Amino acid sequence: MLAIDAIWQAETQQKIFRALLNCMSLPGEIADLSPYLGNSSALLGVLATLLDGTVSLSDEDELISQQVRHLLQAHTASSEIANFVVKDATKPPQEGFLPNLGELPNPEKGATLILQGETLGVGDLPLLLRGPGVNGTRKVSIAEFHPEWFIHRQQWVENFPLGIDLFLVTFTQVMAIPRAITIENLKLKI
Amino acid sequence: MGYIAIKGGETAIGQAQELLEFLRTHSFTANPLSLDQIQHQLHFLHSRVLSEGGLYHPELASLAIKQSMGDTLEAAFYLRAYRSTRPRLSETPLQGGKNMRLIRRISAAFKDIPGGQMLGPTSDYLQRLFRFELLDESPEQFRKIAKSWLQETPKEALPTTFPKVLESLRQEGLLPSVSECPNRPFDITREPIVFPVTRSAALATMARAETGSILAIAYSNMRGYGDIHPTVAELRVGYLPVQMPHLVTGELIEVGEILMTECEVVAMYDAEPNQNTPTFGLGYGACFGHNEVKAIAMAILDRALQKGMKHSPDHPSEDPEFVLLHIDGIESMGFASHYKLPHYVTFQSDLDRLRSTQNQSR
Amino acid sequence: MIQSLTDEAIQKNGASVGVLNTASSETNRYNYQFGFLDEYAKKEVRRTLLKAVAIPGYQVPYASREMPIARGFGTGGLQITLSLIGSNEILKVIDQGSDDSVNAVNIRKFVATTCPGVTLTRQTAEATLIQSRHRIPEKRLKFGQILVLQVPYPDPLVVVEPSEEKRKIMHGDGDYARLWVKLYEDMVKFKEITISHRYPTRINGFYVIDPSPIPRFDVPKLHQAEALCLFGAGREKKIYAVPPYTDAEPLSFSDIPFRVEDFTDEQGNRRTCQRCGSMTSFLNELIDSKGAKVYQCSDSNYCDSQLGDQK
Repeated sequence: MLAIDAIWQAETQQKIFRALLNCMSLPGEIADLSPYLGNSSALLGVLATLLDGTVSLSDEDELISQQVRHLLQAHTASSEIANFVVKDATKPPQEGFLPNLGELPNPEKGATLILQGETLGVGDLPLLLRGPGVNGTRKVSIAEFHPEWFIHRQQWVENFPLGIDLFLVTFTQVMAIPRAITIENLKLKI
Repeated sequence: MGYIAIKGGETAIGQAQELLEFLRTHSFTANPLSLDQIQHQLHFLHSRVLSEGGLYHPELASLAIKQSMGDTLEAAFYLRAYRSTRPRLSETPLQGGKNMRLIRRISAAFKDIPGGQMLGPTSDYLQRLFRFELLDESPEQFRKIAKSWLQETPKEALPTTFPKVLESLRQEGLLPSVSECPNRPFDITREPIVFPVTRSAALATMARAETGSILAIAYSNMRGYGDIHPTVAELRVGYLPVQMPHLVTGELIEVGEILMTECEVVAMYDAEPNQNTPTFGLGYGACFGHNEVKAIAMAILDRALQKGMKHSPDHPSEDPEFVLLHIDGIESMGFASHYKLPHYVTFQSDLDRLRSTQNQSR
Repeated sequence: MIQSLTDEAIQKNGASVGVLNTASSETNRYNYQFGFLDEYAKKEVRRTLLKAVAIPGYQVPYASREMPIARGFGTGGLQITLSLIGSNEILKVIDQGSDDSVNAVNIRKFVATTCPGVTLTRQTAEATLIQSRHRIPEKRLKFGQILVLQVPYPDPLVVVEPSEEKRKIMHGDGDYARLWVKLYEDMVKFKEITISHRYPTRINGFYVIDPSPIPRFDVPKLHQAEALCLFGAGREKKIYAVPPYTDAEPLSFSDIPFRVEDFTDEQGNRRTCQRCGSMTSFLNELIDSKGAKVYQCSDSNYCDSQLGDQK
């Protein structure tokens, strides 16, 4: 008998969601989703948990297979208007890439941006986080996430409450950086 | 010494439920109501609950009425709560009221309409005199009525479809032409209502509104807090076929039908800035079940709200927030009931403020 | 194909499948699945919760399903709880601080029926998830705990502006001028700020929230808390949050500081709980059988544990 991948099951999605909520409330906290993922990636685990037919998804880098796209049920939209935008972050953002930042009366319309990279927790890109959910400051290092993403992010979240909320994912891990967080990295001049 | 606030909450709740159950049965000899009796003999109550519950499930609507002992607000509430547990599996294509298998249709605008006026089962012209013979109705007499009616009624007289009255008005250019619905209808059960809202969201909210609430606000408009001056172009009651795509072929097939009431009112014309010839305005009302007063009230408010959305509202009935946030029975009933919950903490806090303010003024 | 896989999985473990979700096991004709809500409803609440945490203090609109308890009895809190809860959860439910208040009992019973496997507790320290109406427990909440507060009126601006559309614009602009004027007018009229509970509180220096009808006594507990605080308004269809380690400042003037409820007696002494003797807790004022006024902790678990410590 064929088994259904864990990430499509309600029980797993509850657990993944709790990990995501914990990450969103404690920016910089890294969650290991591997106990819940089966053979799927963290990216798919996150998407399977959050998406359905009422939201839109942009996947210009084609990180998700056609078959899985169908199961996610979300309708496809361009990256400027999609609720969820997934990007291959090992590469820099394309020229002119601008996700939806929301509107002042409706800032929740600002996109959730899911960046897929290689490593969370160690690496050559140190980020110093400050803001709600961080007790004082919190340092977290990452690798194989193109630094330009964080320079752009800085501009996108400049006018709070407008902005985007970030999930950084590797193959099995996830970390969140909501819009209210300021990131400091002297080398990137942010 | 026990903790005073406790007072055996768990036991009390349990016993309150038992008492309620006793209240429902009450007698050593009576028979329980059957769901079929509720659906048919309490036709209008059943219709009202279907419509306010926003879930077309005649069997569960009957059960809701039975469980709630006929409290319309409570019964609709049962259906709503059940609805929250059901996933959305598919969507039906848009349907027009034209395809209804009618049991009743009338127009107050024209004497002669294509297909003719059809009074159908209506209480409009009843003299509200008690029929004392029903005080002690025998089952035999009761059953005879339906049987002989069916035997005596020719098949041609049974429900069929008729064209809509508005079509002829449209052909004459007295109404604006129908524009194709550009967007998917707004689903108030899946998306939050954020003002300003679309007409579709307003209609969906009104379709499951509490009858008394929507009537009261519409009545304020009729009396003079507003100037819609409606004429009922058509009111129809009937069974609307429901179509769904076939699971394999994708072809549309009829999967059933739902009892609905639909009302279209024509209102005095409005000068439109980008329109050369003025036309009548139109208000639309529709809901599950057989609920004529509600459909009329909804149509009037639809027209009033369209006015309020375009210009700024002059009256409460033209203000989308005022109307749409105050007509839901489940919400208003719930909030009124919540005042029965303990408020010890907030009241303590109120006492503190009052005493402190009194001290300041002394 | 997908359909048959789903059915097999359902038969095997009784779980309803999220995205592939269709029916749940049909042991009787109409039944309820784990967590009552259908999986799509939970997903919407979950997405809303993430946005609420990401934009601290902002009231995120959501569709808000009807619950089997009445609007006003905690349907917003309950939808959050049911969207969060897993079978390994340890849940505490309180109303007015008490685990045994009728509404708390009722909600706890409902969760026990629809969420098999969940552990119910009265111990504040033991709970992973606490749903509450009108109180934040006396015992300081710890890192990792989640507090869900039931909210009747989510918007602090409603006292100065009835239109939601206009209030959303005011919030977006961080424009709370009219609220300040209202506080100031209070001072002029009564020489006191008359707001007793639901005290407007600024979150992370931007949005002002209605912290739910908790007494002023509890408001400071939101400031730089270790626990995550979630607010659910079911009838008004909003969810908002105060993340851990976030500033929460009650609005006040520099010369008129924010003050919590005063439990000082005529002699100038702090009143104590007649039961456990606590001199620091929020007290309920009661009339005893002889008609005398007595005071007792509103937090029943705190009061019990104080008594336990004395033994």
